[in-house]
Amino acid sequence: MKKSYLLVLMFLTTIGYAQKIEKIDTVAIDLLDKMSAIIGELSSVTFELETESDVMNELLDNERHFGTHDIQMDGPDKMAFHSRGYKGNRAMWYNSGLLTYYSFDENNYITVDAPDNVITMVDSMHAKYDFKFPAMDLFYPTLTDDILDNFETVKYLGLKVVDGQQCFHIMGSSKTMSFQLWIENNTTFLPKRYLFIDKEKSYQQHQGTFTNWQLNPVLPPSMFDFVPPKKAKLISILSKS
Amino acid sequence: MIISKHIKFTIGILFTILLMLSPDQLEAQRMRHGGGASRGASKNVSRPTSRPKTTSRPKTTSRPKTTSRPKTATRPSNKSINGGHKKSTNRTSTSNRKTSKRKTSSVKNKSTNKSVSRKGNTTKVGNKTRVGNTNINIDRSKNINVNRRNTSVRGSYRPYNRPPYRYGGRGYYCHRPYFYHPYTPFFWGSYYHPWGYFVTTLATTAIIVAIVSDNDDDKKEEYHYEEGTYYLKTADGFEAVQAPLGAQVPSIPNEAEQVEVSDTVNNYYYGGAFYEKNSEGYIVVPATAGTIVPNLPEGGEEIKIGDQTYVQFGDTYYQPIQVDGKDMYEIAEIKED
Repeated sequence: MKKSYLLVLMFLTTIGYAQKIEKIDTVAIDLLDKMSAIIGELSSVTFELETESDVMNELLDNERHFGTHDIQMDGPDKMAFHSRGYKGNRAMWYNSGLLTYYSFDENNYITVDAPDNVITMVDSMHAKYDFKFPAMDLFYPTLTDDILDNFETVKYLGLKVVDGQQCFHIMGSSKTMSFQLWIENNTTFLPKRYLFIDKEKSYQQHQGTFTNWQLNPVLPPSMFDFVPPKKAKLISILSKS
Repeated sequence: MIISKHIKFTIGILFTILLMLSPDQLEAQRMRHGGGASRGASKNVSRPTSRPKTTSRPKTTSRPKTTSRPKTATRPSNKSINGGHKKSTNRTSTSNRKTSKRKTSSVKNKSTNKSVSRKGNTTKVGNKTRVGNTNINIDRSKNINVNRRNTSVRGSYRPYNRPPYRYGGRGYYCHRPYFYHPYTPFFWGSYYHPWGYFVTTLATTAIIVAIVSDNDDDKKEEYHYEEGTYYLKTADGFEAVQAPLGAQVPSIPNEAEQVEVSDTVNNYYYGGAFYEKNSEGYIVVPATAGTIVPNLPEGGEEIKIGDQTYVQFGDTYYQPIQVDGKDMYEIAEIKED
C-alpha cells in the first residue's frame, strides 16, 4: 500500500512538472532571445511606430487613440523621438545626461538632468515624471527574463502574416495582462508588432506596429541636441512624488 | 600517329588557355557555390586589405575621409543602444547623474508646496520678482515673506461632472476641459503694480492694513494698501506683495471684475486677489476652486504636470481653458487619490 502511494505521488509530481514545462515554450524563448540579442548588438537604430491605445473617456468607456512616432537611438546615451497623436505634437531629445521634452502645440519645453544611458534614462523619467516612451519595453536588454517574470504562460503560436510580412507569433499571458509579439521572419528578427491587453483595466489594448527599420545608421550627434524655437518657453515640471 | 599529334596539339592549346585564365576568374566561379550571408560579409571585411592595386591609385589614396572614419572604424563595443542583450533577471539601474551647465527646468514635488523653502530654486520670474518654490518669498534678496495662506484654495461649491486629470497620486479637478494658451501676465491699469514692484514713497491716500502673522498669532504684520496694491515696508521703501488674506479695505479699483464662485455667490477679482463685499467694504478671501478668471497677474509660473501645463501661484493651480472662444483660467481643485 505504501509503495503504491509513493508511485501515485511520483506520478502526480511528474504531471505537475510536465504542466509547468508546457507553460513556457522554448521556441518562444529562443525567438525572444534572438530578437533581443540582435537589438543589443545595434549601436544605432531608427524606426517608425504607429500606435493604437485605449483610454478611458468621460463616458467611462474605452476610447481608441492613435499616434505616430519617429524614433532615433544612438548608443549608449542618445535618443530622440517625435510623436504626433492625441497627446499633441511633441518631441524629446536626450543627449548625454540632459533630456528635453518639447511641445510643438504649446511651444514650451522642460529640460532636466537624466541618467547617462538610454535604458536607465527611460526607467528614471517614467518613474519620476510619468514620461511614456513608446515601444521601449522591447528594447530592454533583459526582455526575455522580464517576460518570464511577468507572464505565467509564454507560447509560440506559429507563423503569421502581418502587413504582408511573415512573422513569428509569440504570446505571453498572466492573470492581469496578456502580451503578443510578432517578430519578423527574416535575417534581422526585429519586432513587427506588439499588443498589450490590460485585463484589470477593462481589457484596454495598446498596440504598436514598427516600420522603416534602419540598422546602425550614422546619426550626427547634433540631431540629439535641442535648440529652442523662437519664443519657446522653458517651464517648470512637477515630479510624481 | 596523326591522330595522336592532333590530340597532343589540342591538349597543348587547352593548357595554354587554362594558363591565360586569371586566378580571380577561377575564384569567382568557386565563390558562386558558397552563397549565404557569410559570403558577402567576409568579402566586405577583407576587401580593402586584399586590394594592393587600390593603394597605388592616386585618387583612392588621397581620400582622407574614407580612411579616417571614426564612426565605423573605432566604434566601441559598449556603444549598444541598450548596453547589449542580457539574460540575467537583475534590472538594477545606475543613476550616474551628470551636472550640466545648460539651463534646466525647476523640478518641483508635491511636498514642496506645503513647506517653506527659502533656499530652493532660483527661477527668476518677472522684472524684479523672485518667486520661490512655494511662492512665499516674493523677494528673497530683501527677505520679504508673504503669508502662504494667500494661495490656499477653497473647494468648489458644485460637484464635478468631468473625471479629474490624474498625475502622481493626485486628481486635478476642473469643470471645463484643458485648453492651453500661453501665460501672459496681465496689468490692471496704471495704478496696478505687480508683485515685487518697488517704490520709495506711497501716496498719502494709502492706508495701513494690519494682519495677524501666519507664524505668530500675537504679532501683526502691517501692509500698506493703495488702489488695489498691497505693500510691505522695507529698509529702502515699499515693495508690492500678494494681497494678504483677511485684509479689509474700504474700496477696490473700478477695474475689479465680478467672478462667479457659485450660483449665488460672486467674488470680486483684481490683481490676482479675490474679494468679498461686506458692510465695511471688501475683504480678501481665498480663491475658490472652479472659479474662472479672465487674467492672471505677474508672479505665476507655468508648470508641466504630466501632459498638461498649469500656472502655479503657491498652492493655487490655474488650468488654462477657453470660454466662448476667449482664453481664461479655471482654479483647479486638487485631491489626493
